[in-house]
Amino acid sequence: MSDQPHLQVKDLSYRYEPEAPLALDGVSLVVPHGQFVAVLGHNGSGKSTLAKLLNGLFLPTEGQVTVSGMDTRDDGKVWDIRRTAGMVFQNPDNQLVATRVYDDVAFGLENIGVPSEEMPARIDEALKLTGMLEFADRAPHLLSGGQKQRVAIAGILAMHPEALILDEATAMLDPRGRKEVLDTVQRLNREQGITVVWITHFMQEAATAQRVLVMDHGKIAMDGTPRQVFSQVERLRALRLDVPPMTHLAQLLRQRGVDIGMDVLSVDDMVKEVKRLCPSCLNS
Amino acid sequence: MLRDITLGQYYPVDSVVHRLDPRAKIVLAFMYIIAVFMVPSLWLYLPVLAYLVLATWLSKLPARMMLRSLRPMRIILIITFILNLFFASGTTPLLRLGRVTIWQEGLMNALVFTFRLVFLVTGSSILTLTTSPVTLTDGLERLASPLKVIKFPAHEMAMMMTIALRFIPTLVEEADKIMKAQTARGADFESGNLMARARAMIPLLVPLFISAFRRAGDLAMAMEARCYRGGEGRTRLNKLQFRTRDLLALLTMLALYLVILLPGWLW
Amino acid sequence: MPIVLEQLSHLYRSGPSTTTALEDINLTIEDGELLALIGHTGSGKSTLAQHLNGLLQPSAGRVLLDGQDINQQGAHRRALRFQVGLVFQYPEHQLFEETVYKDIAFGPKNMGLEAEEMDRRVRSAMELVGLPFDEMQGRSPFELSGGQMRRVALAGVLAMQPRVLVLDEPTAGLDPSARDYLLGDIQRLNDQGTTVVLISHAMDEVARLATRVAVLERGRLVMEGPTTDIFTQQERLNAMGLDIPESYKLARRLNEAGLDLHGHYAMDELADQIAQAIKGGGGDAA
Repeated sequence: MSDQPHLQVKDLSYRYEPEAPLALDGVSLVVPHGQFVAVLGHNGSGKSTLAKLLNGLFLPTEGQVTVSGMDTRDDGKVWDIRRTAGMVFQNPDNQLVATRVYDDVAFGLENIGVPSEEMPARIDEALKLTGMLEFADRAPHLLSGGQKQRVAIAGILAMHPEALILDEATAMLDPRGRKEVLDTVQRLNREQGITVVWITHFMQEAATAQRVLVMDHGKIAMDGTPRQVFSQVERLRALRLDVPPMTHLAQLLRQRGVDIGMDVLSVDDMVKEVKRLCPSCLNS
Repeated sequence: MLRDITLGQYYPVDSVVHRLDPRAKIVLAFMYIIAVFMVPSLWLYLPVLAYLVLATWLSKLPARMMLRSLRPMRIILIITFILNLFFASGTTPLLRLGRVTIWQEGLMNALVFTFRLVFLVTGSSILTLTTSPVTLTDGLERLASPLKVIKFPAHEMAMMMTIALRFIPTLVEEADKIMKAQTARGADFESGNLMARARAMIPLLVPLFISAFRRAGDLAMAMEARCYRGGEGRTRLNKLQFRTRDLLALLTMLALYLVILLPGWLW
Repeated sequence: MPIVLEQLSHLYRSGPSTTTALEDINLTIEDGELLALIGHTGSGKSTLAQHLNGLLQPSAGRVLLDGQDINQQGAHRRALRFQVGLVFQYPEHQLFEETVYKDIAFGPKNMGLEAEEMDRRVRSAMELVGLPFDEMQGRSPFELSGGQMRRVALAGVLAMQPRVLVLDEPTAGLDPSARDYLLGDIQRLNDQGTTVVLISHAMDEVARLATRVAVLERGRLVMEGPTTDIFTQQERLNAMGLDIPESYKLARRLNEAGLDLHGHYAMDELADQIAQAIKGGGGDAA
């Protein structure tokens, strides 16, 4: 890993149309190699826009976006950037182009001109990493949402990316599908060192990241560890976001006069706090 | 239920015909169709039949599958036969039924036209039964690629076909869902005259079209994110290779041509 | 008793095989209740929902509304069906009209209502979902935000003024604040007397709204009862791959550790009980 930041954004602003308001307003951000950062924000906060600027699908109105030192405005580098920072979108169906899983994973490899002989090994490896090898011959429309998203991820992995940007990739999935995708991506982050930008509105997912960004009206409003961010319950409410259920319960307890810490994210945290506050309440 | 239909009704078996290069098969199908129209007399359909039976056998396709390919055509076949039988004019009467005469020429025509249809349908279905949609579009793309010199978008067309094939089941499912949602709101797709039914389709077609456009936009972005930039510089997962057996297959077709045409030339 | 499902089964054929989507379902949906239907994707929830308004016909068994079989021949069939409104997942995908007004009026129009009554219903439906009439009625549904489009779609069903409202994953894809509003709307509808059947994967939502829960697994009704009774059976639900709400998980851990919560597992009551216990200094939550 180089000491260069992996993904960097400097004073980034973006307008969808010349007269439109700013979708992103002077955002600056550095994502180091191997980090798993979750991005939260209400609809319209700019999180999806940010994602599309990170891999050059959109170009900045002002400011700069660099991926591994490559500027997205550099025409010659845009394809390298997209290969380096792969993107998974929200709708599982609208990313798969082929009639067979195996062929779809090959799509990206065909686009970047990988020789035919090298393709099968890369495809197999990508399918294995996402647990979809047994589905190689299946038609996409016969897969569940979570499986489709894993195929989409495999399609990107085959291109040997260094970073994965997931734009609300679990929004349209059922709980099992969400877990499949999150588990897969967490594993890729841990074992392959792939930098992950995970955009979501599911608090429980953000709680598992190393770092949480909260966006509001085109700016980064909060930036810290999950505990740091979620303990600011009032602030999150003002930003039209939710908190994990246990954090909400902690707030209710505070309202009832209990001096409970605010960085309670999980059931475990809550049980620990109850024990701390009232050792005789619990016998274990 | 429609989700299980493999479009083009590809029948996945391992046979020598399955393994032929799709380009060869497409050319064969084309030549076969021309051959069917060139057969000069009724009896010369026998070699065509023999060729068809041989091809079916070599493809390891069950006979009933071939017959099943004719099912959607049965009404047209019956109409063709009857129309030609009763309404052709000729010189040699065979049968008189009241005011209607069945001429010998009529019977011959009826048989010829019906056989043509049967052979056309069953013969071309061998192409779709032995070639998967992906391989087929690949073959069409490669065949058409020389046309790129006159700016014919061979790659784009193949891409469109693949994407269409991929999305048809998805769109069918969505149409079903939209229909159910509108029915739940009291829409009636079934009763009424033609005009009423056409108007009733609006609540189905408008959302479907809008959804299709949205999908297209999403898909285009996803393709670009995976470095798609048109046909330039693309490699292919499946390399098509013309082999000896492909050449032999083409030669068999030439043989069929000779058998059909020679008698006409010699006599 | 608005809806009774009697030995309801549904089979469908795909190619050579036959799949059992629903098997021998016996369920009564009481007037005015808010029943949640939970289960895996593929457990048959959507199929069941489509039987409630006659979109699907049973292969065996009956669906009774006020004692009448909704699938028997007769002129009343359609009218019976209009009493059960069904809102599909991502209902905004069914919007098609030029204006919000026209789209919401589609249902009432199909019911053959007079223009005046139709107008009344459109206005009232828009109010129910929080869409200001004057501002929104003339706009194209397609220039609205996702959350607004969903509310238009919901209004389209509410305008038919069904006695029973069946909602299939109503908050799917919505962000937290939009989700919150919608859940509030649903609660209000139920408070005002509409029977609600809620199909949902989000257990916290189910815990918040539902008084009764029915669990489907592979087409069979395997559990059914008051919300608390169902969610306290964590092992059984986990074995089916289903989760329980966080508050119930906490309650269980605290119960096991000796803190008696008197069966109060909804957020506010849970907070009350825990606060009391902590302030009391220990032992039983009085």
